[in-house]
This record gives sequence, C-alpha cells and structure tokens, in this order.
Amino acid sequence: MAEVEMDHLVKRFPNGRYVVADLSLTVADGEFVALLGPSGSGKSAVLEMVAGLEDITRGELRFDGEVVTETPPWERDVAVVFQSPALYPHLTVAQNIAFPLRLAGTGRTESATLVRETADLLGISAHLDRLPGTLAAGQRQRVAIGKTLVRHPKVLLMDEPVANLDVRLRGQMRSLIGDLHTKFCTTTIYVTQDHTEAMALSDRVVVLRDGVVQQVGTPTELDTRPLNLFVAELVGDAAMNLLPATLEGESVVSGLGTFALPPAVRRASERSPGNEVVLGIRPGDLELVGSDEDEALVVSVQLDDVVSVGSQTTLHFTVPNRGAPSPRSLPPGFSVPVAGTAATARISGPCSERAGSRVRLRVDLARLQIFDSGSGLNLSAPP
Amino acid sequence: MQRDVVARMGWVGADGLVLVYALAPMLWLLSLSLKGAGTLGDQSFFPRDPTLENYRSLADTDFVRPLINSLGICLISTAVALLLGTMAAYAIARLRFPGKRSIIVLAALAATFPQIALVIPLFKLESSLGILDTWLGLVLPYVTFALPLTIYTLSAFFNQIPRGLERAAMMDGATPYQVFRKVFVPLARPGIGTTAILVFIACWNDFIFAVSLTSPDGARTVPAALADFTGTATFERPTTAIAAAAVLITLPILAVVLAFQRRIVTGLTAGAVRG
Repeated sequence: MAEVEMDHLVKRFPNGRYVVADLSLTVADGEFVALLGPSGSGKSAVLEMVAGLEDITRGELRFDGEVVTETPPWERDVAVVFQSPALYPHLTVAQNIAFPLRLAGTGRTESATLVRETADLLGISAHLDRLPGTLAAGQRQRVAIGKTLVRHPKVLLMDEPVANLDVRLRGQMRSLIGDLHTKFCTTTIYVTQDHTEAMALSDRVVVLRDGVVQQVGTPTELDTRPLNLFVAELVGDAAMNLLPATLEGESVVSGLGTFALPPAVRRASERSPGNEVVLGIRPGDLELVGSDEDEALVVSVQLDDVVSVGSQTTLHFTVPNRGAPSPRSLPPGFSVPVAGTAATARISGPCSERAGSRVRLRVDLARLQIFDSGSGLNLSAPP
Repeated sequence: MQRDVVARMGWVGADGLVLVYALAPMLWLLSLSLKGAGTLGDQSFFPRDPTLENYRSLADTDFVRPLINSLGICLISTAVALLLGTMAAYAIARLRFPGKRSIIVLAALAATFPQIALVIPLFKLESSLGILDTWLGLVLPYVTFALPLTIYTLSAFFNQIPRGLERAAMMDGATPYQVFRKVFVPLARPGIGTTAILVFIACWNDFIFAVSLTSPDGARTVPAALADFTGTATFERPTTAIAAAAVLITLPILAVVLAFQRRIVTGLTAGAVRG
C-alpha cells in the first residue's frame, strides 16, 4: 500500500491533443478515490499513466515519495482490474490467480494457499479447475479481482470494472469491491462514468472534464456544493433542474418564481459580471405541500406526467421561460427550448396526483444552487 | 430423409475421389516396394508375391547415414527457425522499431527468391567458408528459407492475441520477455505446431540444396541419396529398392505430422478472452 502523488501530470497525444491537462492529486495511503467523468474526459488516461501503460508527457508521479514516472509497469507493483476481465485463456482459474505469484517467484505451496484463500473470499472456490472461457461474465471479473488481491499491490486501479455486467451483478460486484476495500484498505483509484458507483464506494471523488479537474471532494460535498454546472449535472441521483434566471437585487427571478437570495449567494453575485444566472434545484429539494403554506417559498405548477417506481414518485412539469437569458449567453451545451424548461420533483412514497392537475411545491431555499450563466461556476458555493 | 441419403452419398463419393487422388501414388509406391525384381513389370497393382526383401536389402546399403543426416539437419533447422521466428514474429506483431517495414519486405523477398538461382553462389560461399558438405552448410540455407514462412504465420497468430491480455500480463508483473514466453508462446502453440510441420517438411523434401551442397559420403540427406541409389548389385534395376527407401523416408514425416496434429486439434478450443 502506498500514497500516490500525481504532480502536474500532463498527457498529450502525438497529434497534439491534451488528454490530461495538468492534474495534481494526492491519494492517501488506503484511500479510495473515484475518477468520475463522461467518456473522453481523460480518466482512463490518468489510470494508465499511474499503471505505467501510457507514458507521462510531463509531470511527476510518486508512490510514497519515490518517483516512479519512468518505472516500467512490471516494476511498479500496481494491479489493474480492467473493464473486460483479461484472463489467460490457456490457464485454469487457479493458475490465472496464481500467475502474478508465479512471476514474483512465490513458492508453490504458499501460492496454492494464497490462491485458495482468495478464491474463498470471492466465492469462486468451486471453479478453480475451470478454464476462463467456461465462466460467466461475473465470475470472470471475480477471477480478475482475485488476481489483484492475491499479491497485495501497492496501488489498485479499477477501470470501470462493473460496466460490462448486468444490473443485478453490478450491484453485487460493487458491494464486493466495497467490502474488499474495507478489509484490505488498499490504496484504490476507481474509474467510472456512473456517479452512483463513485458516490457509494469512494472516500473522495474527482470529477474530470476534457482532461481538466472540475472538482475534488467527498460524495456529500459534490452533492450539496457542486462547483459548476458540469458537476451539478453529472452528480446526483436525479438530474438537477437547471432553470434560466436573472439576479435582481436581493432575489433571483426564474420561470418558477422569485426567491430571496441566501446571504452567501448575495455576496458572490457581487463578484459576478452579469446578472444572468442558472438556477439549480435538485428534484429531491422540491416538496409537495398543501394550500396553507407560506407563499414566498411555494410555487404552483401544472403536472405533465407522474411516474411512480413504488418507493419514489417523479413529478414532471414544465417551467415557462420568464426572465430567461438569451440562449447565446448560456454556457455551451445548455439550450433553452421555446416552450419552457422541463423539470422534475422527486417525492418519496406514492402520490395521488395525476397528469394535468395543479400542485403546490415548496422549494428548499437553503439548497438552491445559483450558477453564473457565462462561466458555469457555482455562485452559491464558497470559493 | 431421401435427400439426406443422397447428400450423404454425394459426400462419400467426393471424399472417396479425393482420397484416391491423394493416396494412389503412395499406394503404388508401397506396392512397388513389396514386389520382387522379377514381378516388377507384371502390370499388377497388388504384388503377386509380396516380399520384404527390398527393405532388408536397404540395411546392406549406405542408407542409414543419409537418414541420420536428414533427421538431424531437419530437426535442427526446424528448431532454429522456430526459435528465431517466434521472437521475430513477436517483434513484428507487437513492437515498434525503425526498419520494421523493410524487414517484412525483405523477408518476403527472400521467400520468393528462386532457390536454384542461389545454388552456385551458395556453393562458392560455403566452400570458401569451409562448411560445404556439413550439417551447418544445409542448416543455414534451410533456416533462411524457413524464416519468412515462420515469421509470417506466427505474426498472424500473435496479432490475434488481444492487446488487453498483454497489458494485463504487464500489470501482473511480467517483463516483456515474460509476456512473450508465458502468454504469447503458449497461446500461439497451434500456430507454432503448424509452422513446425511445414518447415520440417520443406527441409525434409529439399533436393536442390542437398544434392549440390553435399557429397554422397558426407552430409547428404535422403532425397539426394535416393537419386544416387544403385541397389545392392551393380546390374540390378534398383526401382523396387528405391521404392522401399521412399516409403521408409515418408515415415518420419508421417510421425511428425501426427505428433503435432494432436496438439493443433486439442490446442485451445476452450479458452477465449471475451465470451
């Protein structure tokens, strides 16, 4: 186990494209860090640089203070679980798990004991004599994990290890990975596109976009204080409602209504160049209320659709474009449809409301996020 | 049902035809080798008076030495060609190095070069090097001509091995040589087996180099030895004896093919990286 220091890492392809631009990150000994981002965000490139499979264009990589930038992969003592388990088709499961030990020159009896222990831990003891080709996808990934566990590496890297599995297996494998980390506390870097995985497993999450770090924080920090629109969109159980709005004095005006600004935002808005913003409300921060509530925080909307999945109900409605900025002033990727902006509210339990009916929703003012519409930066998050 | 029977008959017929076409000369050779000198021209396919006399007579001739020469030279050539060939094929399939393209082109060129054109230069070269009429004198040209084939076949096999496996092996702690030795070579075993057979057969059947670079009392191999075969008696027609010798020298090839064929078939039907 080791502390991993990435010191201004840069990965640039021969064609001049920057895949990773100046990444500095320290992963503490025993920490579980997720690299989260859409495909093409450079997260796998980071992983490959740490593994040694890709060379580092600029910057320095250190394990426990020792520079390993130029060290070849086979000498780094880093183990990788790939998205599609790369097992040796000519070796049995037991031989596959023992392969790293064989390379390291571990004795036959010791290696056999270690393989058996690992297999027991992963629930694949029954398949030790089979060839990988005869195993199911989930079992193959377990063998691949076994191969990394058996040798207790300094650093464990996982590249979307559950992405190729079906939903049920994915959950199982995810909790297995969590349990194993609790047990062995190996320094782990976990690459994923799925924010729920990242949130469920990690101590810290690093959000990447086009090779640039957007935010580093605990899952809670990312959820409650996304630093910009990109993070806000990527993270969270349900996509955040993003409404065009304007700042007017001490309040924010949107199609949903006018709300008083929290003090922090008021201060931040003074630094903001314009007064056109994007108002972010998590669907879970809207609450269905009766008619006797304080008017200032309650909005009335007409439901387009009601979708219930048993324990949760999602209310779909459209927010008209009032006080909306011109589409040109929005950050790239955000467009304002003419009819209005689709939005959702998520409430727990079943709901008797039907599509077409008008309901009243209370906004949790403390959890409102206000983003600068030019830079996408979160004005409500402390800098 | 009816159609099944017809189709089956058709296949049996076709298979039979191919078998006869392929095996008739061999059977004829076998038949000749069992005939006595007197019944040689009796125009009967089955020998009327089968005798092993021809085989027995081989023991008295100087046939054992060419056989040993052939076996030795071919086995060494095959081994050397495979050893160098697998490594070269790995480099060509996986590594990036300057001059890679020209190596591929040159290898192809060497393979297409007519052997007969090289006989005289090789003779001159080997005589001045002093390796004329030695095992080495044949092993060198054999390896040279076998290498392009080995490299081409094996790099095709290596190319099929997913890169992910190589990366995984490196992350398991394997050095590039260990990746080659413990992952590539075992996985390409069917390809190596096939190539070994082809190389061995090519060496075993070579006549041009053998007859021009060796002398009857030296490192002469069997195909050349057969040509200057005279039988036991000076005035006897050696046809039957030659037939017997030909049958005899077919056996090692048969043995090699059978030995490697098992490998190829049982090879790697069970495993795959993705399922």
